[in-house]
Amino acid sequence: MALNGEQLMEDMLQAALPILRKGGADALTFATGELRKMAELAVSVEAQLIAGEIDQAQAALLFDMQKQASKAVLLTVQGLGLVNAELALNAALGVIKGVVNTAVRFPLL
Amino acid sequence: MRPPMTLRSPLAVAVLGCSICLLFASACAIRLIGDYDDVIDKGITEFQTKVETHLISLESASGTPQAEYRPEFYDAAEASLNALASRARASFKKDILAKQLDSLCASIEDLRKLHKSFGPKMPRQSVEAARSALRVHIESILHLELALRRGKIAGLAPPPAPGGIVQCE
Repeated sequence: MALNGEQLMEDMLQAALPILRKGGADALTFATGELRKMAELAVSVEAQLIAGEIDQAQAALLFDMQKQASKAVLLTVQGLGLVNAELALNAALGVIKGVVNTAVRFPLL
Repeated sequence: MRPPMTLRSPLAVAVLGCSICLLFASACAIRLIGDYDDVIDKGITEFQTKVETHLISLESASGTPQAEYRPEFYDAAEASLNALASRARASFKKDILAKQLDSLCASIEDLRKLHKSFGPKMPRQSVEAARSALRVHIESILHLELALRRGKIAGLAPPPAPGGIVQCE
Protein backbone atom coordinates (compact mmCIF):
# COMPACT_ATOMS: atom_id res chain seq x y z
CA MET A 1 0.00 0.00 0.00
CA ALA A 2 1.42 3.41 -1.03
CA LEU A 3 2.14 5.87 1.76
CA ASN A 4 -0.11 8.94 1.79
CA GLY A 5 1.94 11.96 2.88
CA GLU A 6 -1.10 14.08 3.73
CA GLN A 7 -2.64 11.33 5.86
CA LEU A 8 0.70 10.69 7.53
CA MET A 9 0.99 14.35 8.48
CA GLU A 10 -2.61 14.41 9.73
CA ASP A 11 -1.99 11.33 11.87
CA MET A 12 1.17 12.86 13.34
CA LEU A 13 -0.64 16.09 14.15
CA GLN A 14 -3.51 14.18 15.76
CA ALA A 15 -0.96 12.49 18.02
CA ALA A 16 1.13 15.57 18.81
CA LEU A 17 -1.31 18.49 19.10
CA PRO A 18 -3.31 17.38 22.17
CA ILE A 19 -0.05 16.88 24.05
CA LEU A 20 1.25 20.29 23.04
CA ARG A 21 -2.04 22.04 23.89
CA LYS A 22 -2.36 20.49 27.34
CA GLY A 23 1.31 21.03 28.11
CA GLY A 24 1.09 24.65 27.07
CA ALA A 25 -1.96 25.24 29.26
CA ASP A 26 -0.27 23.60 32.26
CA ALA A 27 2.88 25.67 31.81
CA LEU A 28 0.84 28.88 31.54
CA THR A 29 -1.07 28.06 34.73
CA PHE A 30 2.17 27.41 36.58
CA ALA A 31 3.89 30.56 35.30
CA THR A 32 0.90 32.79 36.04
CA GLY A 33 0.68 31.59 39.64
CA GLU A 34 4.36 31.94 40.36
CA LEU A 35 4.86 35.28 38.66
CA ARG A 36 1.86 36.69 40.54
CA LYS A 37 3.68 35.85 43.79
CA MET A 38 6.72 37.68 42.45
CA ALA A 39 4.65 40.77 41.67
CA GLU A 40 3.25 40.77 45.22
CA LEU A 41 6.77 40.45 46.56
CA ALA A 42 7.92 43.46 44.55
CA VAL A 43 5.09 45.54 46.04
CA SER A 44 6.05 44.43 49.54
CA VAL A 45 9.70 45.37 49.09
CA GLU A 46 8.74 48.77 47.72
CA ALA A 47 6.49 49.37 50.72
CA GLN A 48 9.31 48.51 53.13
CA LEU A 49 11.64 50.90 51.31
CA ILE A 50 9.12 53.74 51.41
CA ALA A 51 8.44 53.07 55.11
CA GLY A 52 12.16 53.32 55.83
CA GLU A 53 12.37 49.77 57.19
CA ILE A 54 15.08 48.90 54.67
CA ASP A 55 17.66 50.96 52.79
CA GLN A 56 18.39 50.93 49.07
CA ALA A 57 21.16 48.35 49.30
CA GLN A 58 18.90 45.99 51.24
CA ALA A 59 16.05 46.59 48.78
CA ALA A 60 18.43 45.78 45.93
CA LEU A 61 19.32 42.45 47.56
CA LEU A 62 15.66 41.52 48.04
CA PHE A 63 14.88 42.50 44.45
CA ASP A 64 17.79 40.38 43.26
CA MET A 65 16.36 37.38 45.13
CA GLN A 66 13.07 38.08 43.38
CA LYS A 67 14.83 38.32 40.01
CA GLN A 68 16.62 34.99 40.59
CA ALA A 69 13.29 33.36 41.49
CA SER A 70 11.60 34.76 38.38
CA LYS A 71 14.48 33.38 36.33
CA ALA A 72 13.90 29.95 37.89
CA VAL A 73 10.19 30.13 37.02
CA LEU A 74 10.91 30.93 33.38
CA LEU A 75 13.54 28.18 33.20
CA THR A 76 10.93 25.74 34.47
CA VAL A 77 8.53 26.91 31.78
CA GLN A 78 11.29 26.29 29.23
CA GLY A 79 11.85 22.82 30.69
CA LEU A 80 8.13 22.00 30.64
CA GLY A 81 8.13 23.01 26.98
CA LEU A 82 10.91 20.53 26.28
CA VAL A 83 9.09 17.77 28.18
CA ASN A 84 5.97 18.36 26.11
CA ALA A 85 7.86 18.68 22.85
CA GLU A 86 9.58 15.37 23.56
CA LEU A 87 6.28 13.63 24.34
CA ALA A 88 4.65 15.11 21.22
CA LEU A 89 7.59 14.26 18.95
CA ASN A 90 7.80 10.69 20.15
CA ALA A 91 4.02 10.27 19.84
CA ALA A 92 4.19 11.51 16.24
CA LEU A 93 7.16 9.25 15.51
CA GLY A 94 5.21 6.34 16.94
CA VAL A 95 2.50 6.99 14.36
CA ILE A 96 5.05 6.98 11.52
CA LYS A 97 6.53 3.74 12.74
CA GLY A 98 3.23 1.85 12.57
CA VAL A 99 2.13 3.27 9.25
CA VAL A 100 5.48 2.89 7.48
CA ASN A 101 6.00 -0.67 8.73
CA THR A 102 2.52 -1.57 7.50
CA ALA A 103 3.15 0.06 4.11
CA VAL A 104 6.48 -1.65 3.48
CA ARG A 105 5.26 -4.91 5.01
CA PHE A 106 8.27 -5.52 7.21
CA PRO A 107 9.61 -3.93 10.43
CA LEU A 108 11.64 -1.23 8.72
CA LEU A 109 11.41 1.06 11.78
CA MET B 1 13.62 -0.90 -21.68
CA ARG B 2 12.70 -0.80 -18.01
CA PRO B 3 9.34 0.78 -17.08
CA PRO B 4 9.59 4.05 -15.09
CA MET B 5 9.33 3.79 -11.32
CA THR B 6 5.87 4.78 -10.12
CA LEU B 7 4.72 5.83 -6.68
CA ARG B 8 2.81 2.60 -6.33
CA SER B 9 5.70 0.22 -6.98
CA PRO B 10 7.14 -1.64 -3.95
CA LEU B 11 10.59 -0.21 -4.64
CA ALA B 12 9.25 3.35 -4.58
CA VAL B 13 7.43 2.67 -1.34
CA ALA B 14 10.61 1.32 0.22
CA VAL B 15 12.64 4.34 -0.95
CA LEU B 16 10.02 6.74 0.42
CA GLY B 17 9.96 4.81 3.65
CA CYS B 18 13.73 5.02 3.98
CA SER B 19 13.66 8.77 3.28
CA ILE B 20 11.12 9.32 6.01
CA CYS B 21 13.24 7.24 8.33
CA LEU B 22 16.31 9.37 7.65
CA LEU B 23 14.28 12.57 8.00
CA PHE B 24 13.03 11.55 11.42
CA ALA B 25 16.27 9.91 12.58
CA SER B 26 14.87 6.46 11.83
CA ALA B 27 11.97 7.15 14.23
CA CYS B 28 14.34 6.65 17.15
CA ALA B 29 13.04 8.13 20.41
CA ILE B 30 14.20 11.72 20.77
CA ARG B 31 15.51 13.09 24.04
CA LEU B 32 15.21 16.84 24.59
CA ILE B 33 15.62 16.97 28.37
CA GLY B 34 17.23 14.89 31.08
CA ASP B 35 15.59 12.29 33.27
CA TYR B 36 14.02 12.66 36.73
CA ASP B 37 16.68 12.44 39.44
CA ASP B 38 15.54 11.43 42.90
CA VAL B 39 18.88 12.52 44.40
CA ILE B 40 18.18 16.05 43.19
CA ASP B 41 14.56 15.85 44.36
CA LYS B 42 15.55 14.74 47.86
CA GLY B 43 18.51 17.13 47.98
CA ILE B 44 16.37 20.16 47.15
CA THR B 45 13.66 19.10 49.60
CA GLU B 46 16.22 18.72 52.41
CA PHE B 47 17.72 22.07 51.47
CA GLN B 48 14.30 23.71 51.68
CA THR B 49 13.76 22.28 55.17
CA LYS B 50 17.06 23.78 56.36
CA VAL B 51 16.29 27.16 54.81
CA GLU B 52 12.81 27.31 56.34
CA THR B 53 14.22 26.36 59.75
CA HIS B 54 16.83 29.10 59.45
CA LEU B 55 14.27 31.75 58.47
CA ILE B 56 11.93 30.74 61.28
CA SER B 57 14.83 31.13 63.68
CA LEU B 58 15.57 34.63 62.33
CA GLU B 59 11.97 35.62 62.99
CA SER B 60 11.41 33.98 66.35
CA ALA B 61 14.79 34.93 67.81
CA SER B 62 14.94 38.42 66.27
CA GLY B 63 16.98 40.82 68.37
CA THR B 64 18.70 38.06 70.35
CA PRO B 65 22.22 36.61 69.94
CA GLN B 66 20.63 33.49 68.43
CA ALA B 67 19.69 35.54 65.35
CA GLU B 68 23.16 37.01 64.84
CA TYR B 69 24.91 36.36 61.56
CA ARG B 70 27.00 33.18 61.50
CA PRO B 71 28.65 32.01 58.28
CA GLU B 72 28.18 28.28 58.94
CA PHE B 73 24.59 28.06 57.70
CA TYR B 74 25.34 29.96 54.48
CA ASP B 75 28.58 28.08 53.80
CA ALA B 76 26.80 24.73 54.22
CA ALA B 77 23.83 25.83 52.10
CA GLU B 78 26.04 26.99 49.23
CA ALA B 79 28.13 23.81 49.45
CA SER B 80 24.95 21.68 49.17
CA LEU B 81 23.74 23.65 46.17
CA ASN B 82 27.13 23.48 44.48
CA ALA B 83 27.17 19.70 44.90
CA LEU B 84 23.68 19.38 43.39
CA ALA B 85 24.63 21.73 40.54
CA SER B 86 27.72 19.61 39.81
CA ARG B 87 25.51 16.54 39.63
CA ALA B 88 23.16 18.35 37.25
CA ARG B 89 26.03 19.46 35.01
CA ALA B 90 27.38 15.91 34.93
CA SER B 91 23.96 14.53 33.92
CA PHE B 92 22.49 14.23 30.46
CA LYS B 93 20.60 17.37 29.34
CA LYS B 94 20.10 18.82 32.81
CA ASP B 95 21.52 22.26 32.00
CA ILE B 96 18.24 23.99 32.89
CA LEU B 97 18.43 22.51 36.38
CA ALA B 98 22.10 23.50 36.68
CA LYS B 99 21.19 27.12 35.87
CA GLN B 100 18.37 27.06 38.40
CA LEU B 101 20.69 25.76 41.11
CA ASP B 102 23.40 28.34 40.31
CA SER B 103 20.71 31.01 40.51
CA LEU B 104 19.52 29.64 43.88
CA CYS B 105 23.09 29.81 45.14
CA ALA B 106 23.16 33.50 44.13
CA SER B 107 19.95 34.03 46.14
CA ILE B 108 21.48 32.43 49.22
CA GLU B 109 24.45 34.76 48.84
CA ASP B 110 21.99 37.69 48.71
CA LEU B 111 20.39 36.41 51.91
CA ARG B 112 23.82 36.16 53.52
CA LYS B 113 24.52 39.81 52.67
CA LEU B 114 21.10 40.84 53.98
CA HIS B 115 21.71 39.02 57.25
CA LYS B 116 25.14 40.63 57.66
CA SER B 117 23.56 44.01 56.90
CA PHE B 118 20.68 43.71 59.38
CA GLY B 119 22.49 41.75 62.06
CA PRO B 120 20.13 39.97 64.48
CA LYS B 121 17.28 42.42 63.78
CA MET B 122 16.09 41.60 60.27
CA PRO B 123 12.56 43.03 59.93
CA ARG B 124 9.81 40.40 59.78
CA GLN B 125 8.64 41.66 56.39
CA SER B 126 12.15 41.30 54.98
CA VAL B 127 12.38 37.73 56.26
CA GLU B 128 8.98 37.07 54.71
CA ALA B 129 10.10 38.60 51.39
CA ALA B 130 13.22 36.43 51.37
CA ARG B 131 11.12 33.38 52.27
CA SER B 132 8.66 34.05 49.40
CA ALA B 133 11.43 34.42 46.84
CA LEU B 134 13.20 31.26 47.97
CA ARG B 135 9.95 29.25 48.06
CA VAL B 136 9.06 30.25 44.50
CA HIS B 137 12.59 29.40 43.42
CA ILE B 138 12.66 25.98 45.06
CA GLU B 139 9.11 25.12 43.99
CA SER B 140 10.04 25.91 40.39
CA ILE B 141 12.90 23.44 40.54
CA LEU B 142 10.74 20.76 42.14
CA HIS B 143 7.89 21.38 39.68
CA LEU B 144 10.14 20.58 36.74
CA GLU B 145 11.71 17.53 38.39
CA LEU B 146 8.28 16.13 39.24
CA ALA B 147 7.11 16.82 35.68
CA LEU B 148 10.03 14.69 34.49
CA ARG B 149 8.94 11.93 36.84
CA ARG B 150 5.38 12.07 35.48
CA GLY B 151 6.76 12.22 31.96
CA LYS B 152 8.72 9.04 32.64
CA ILE B 153 5.46 7.35 33.58
CA ALA B 154 3.63 8.88 30.59
CA GLY B 155 6.23 7.83 28.11
CA LEU B 156 9.22 10.09 27.86
CA ALA B 157 11.99 8.29 25.99
CA PRO B 158 14.42 6.30 28.13
CA PRO B 159 17.86 7.73 28.81
CA PRO B 160 20.27 7.32 25.91
CA ALA B 161 23.44 5.27 25.91
CA PRO B 162 26.49 7.23 27.07
CA GLY B 163 27.43 9.90 24.57
CA GLY B 164 24.20 9.64 22.63
CA ILE B 165 21.30 12.05 22.24
CA VAL B 166 18.98 9.65 20.49
CA GLN B 167 17.76 6.36 21.84
CA CYS B 168 17.03 3.74 19.22
CA GLU B 169 15.06 0.62 20.01
